[in-house]
Amino acid sequence: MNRLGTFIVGYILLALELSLRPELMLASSGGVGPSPLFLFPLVVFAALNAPLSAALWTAGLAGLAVDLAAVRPAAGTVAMATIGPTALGYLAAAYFVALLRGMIIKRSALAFGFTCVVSAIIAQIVAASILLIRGLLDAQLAPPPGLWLRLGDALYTALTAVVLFYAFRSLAAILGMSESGHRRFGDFPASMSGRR
Amino acid sequence: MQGRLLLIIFGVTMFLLAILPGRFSAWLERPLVALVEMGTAPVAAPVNWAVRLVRRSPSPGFGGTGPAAEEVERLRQDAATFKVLYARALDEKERLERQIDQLNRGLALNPALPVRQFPAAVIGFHADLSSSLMKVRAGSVQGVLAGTVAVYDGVNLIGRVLDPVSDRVSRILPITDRQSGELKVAIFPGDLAPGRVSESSAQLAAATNPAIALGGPSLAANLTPRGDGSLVGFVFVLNERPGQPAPVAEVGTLVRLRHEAAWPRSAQMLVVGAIERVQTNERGRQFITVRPLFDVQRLSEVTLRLSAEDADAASPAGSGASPGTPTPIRSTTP
Repeated sequence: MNRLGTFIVGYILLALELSLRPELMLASSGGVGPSPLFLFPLVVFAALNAPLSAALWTAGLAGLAVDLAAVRPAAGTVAMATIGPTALGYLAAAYFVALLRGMIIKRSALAFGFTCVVSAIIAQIVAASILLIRGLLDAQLAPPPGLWLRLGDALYTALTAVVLFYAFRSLAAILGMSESGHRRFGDFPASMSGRR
Repeated sequence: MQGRLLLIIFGVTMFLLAILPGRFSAWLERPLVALVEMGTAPVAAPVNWAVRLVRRSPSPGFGGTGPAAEEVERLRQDAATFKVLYARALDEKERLERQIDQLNRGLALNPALPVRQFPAAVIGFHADLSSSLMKVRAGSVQGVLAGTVAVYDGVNLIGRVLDPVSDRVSRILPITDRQSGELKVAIFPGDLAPGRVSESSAQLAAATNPAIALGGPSLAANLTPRGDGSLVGFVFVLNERPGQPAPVAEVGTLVRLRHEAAWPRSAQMLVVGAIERVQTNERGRQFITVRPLFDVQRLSEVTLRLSAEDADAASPAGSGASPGTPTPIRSTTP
């Protein structure tokens, strides 16, 4: 995996997430509706195509960046970010995808979209659970988005995932993530891979 | 092995930071948040600009194009500004009368404070869309403090700046966000939003004469943000005059801030929004839904108002930042 290339692509996707997500939000009676995730498909793509450790670090750092960008009010007077929930959610999702990547069709955009939805659901459940614990310990923090809204975000992410899948494939050289035969828990030794 | 160990340490660290209360992680979180904001701004800001260009929303609350429409718009803004000044003058008169009583008992006077205003570009929102926190390009370098009031078009209240304030970026919590808390407001029957026509003859007279509208019997309400861009609350009557019909809230009437305990004096009488819906319960009490005259999500620029009162409240020395010379009549200086 090309770390610099992945960082640049992730940086652009994070900026798109901050600026485009509000515009793509679906209207709802409660005022806040589901909106798609932009950075998460990169995490899934890395989990499918990169070595396991690189994929997990990508997921952890991407989740940390999203946590730092998701500032919320506390006690109505202070703005603060909650570090950790999204990072751990993305880690769990990446590990889940890495466990199953031998069984996933990597050349299908629809399969990629479906994988993103399922893994995003896992990520959101993990993040919501951690925020629930945090809410019990820190009453001043504003209530986080409900689980249903988060699940809506996960479903909506299928759209961005399908679009980004083609972008990632065209950027595979920059990302350093080709559709090679990565095993579930590690790469083949170079002498056995047959690839140069 | 070492990589796996580092990953485990990272995971455990994230878990601990996630569950610990904010005061334990604020020292780490603030510089990292500033770093992410500064890092993503070069890409996020142009995308925001491009999105606004595509949407082509010229003015989020008032429409019209052409010289004549611009002149009408300018006159409307002037009228709205003067109404705020007049309402604040009436409020100030009541306050001075109370202070004269207090003076007679030997308490100190607070002098009226000028307000410094400056525009700040909206550079985006935060990734967590459950909160409507806005980011603006103005910070402590320009004198912005936690609690600085943000307005649109000079008189329409948007919200307040939250702590922490970085050098160049501030975060504003809109009054329509659930976390902003309750707002106490005043409603002057006849004080209508631009383009509105009163349905009652008594209030029609008031609508054509702001002095009547703002000096007559008024209503008050404690509004709570509902989280969908509106605020709701029950209405009660203030300043009922004998011989005059009890005032009623009407759709289209402007709602103004009157909450000295929680908001600075320079923010009093700013427009919170217009009444969108009125419901009456079985006891005859009116329940109103208020919505701001503009869409927070479409704002590209806000005006920050800094008064010496805010600066003194933030400075332990008491002198605080100088507010500078009072701004021209188009602003809302008292």
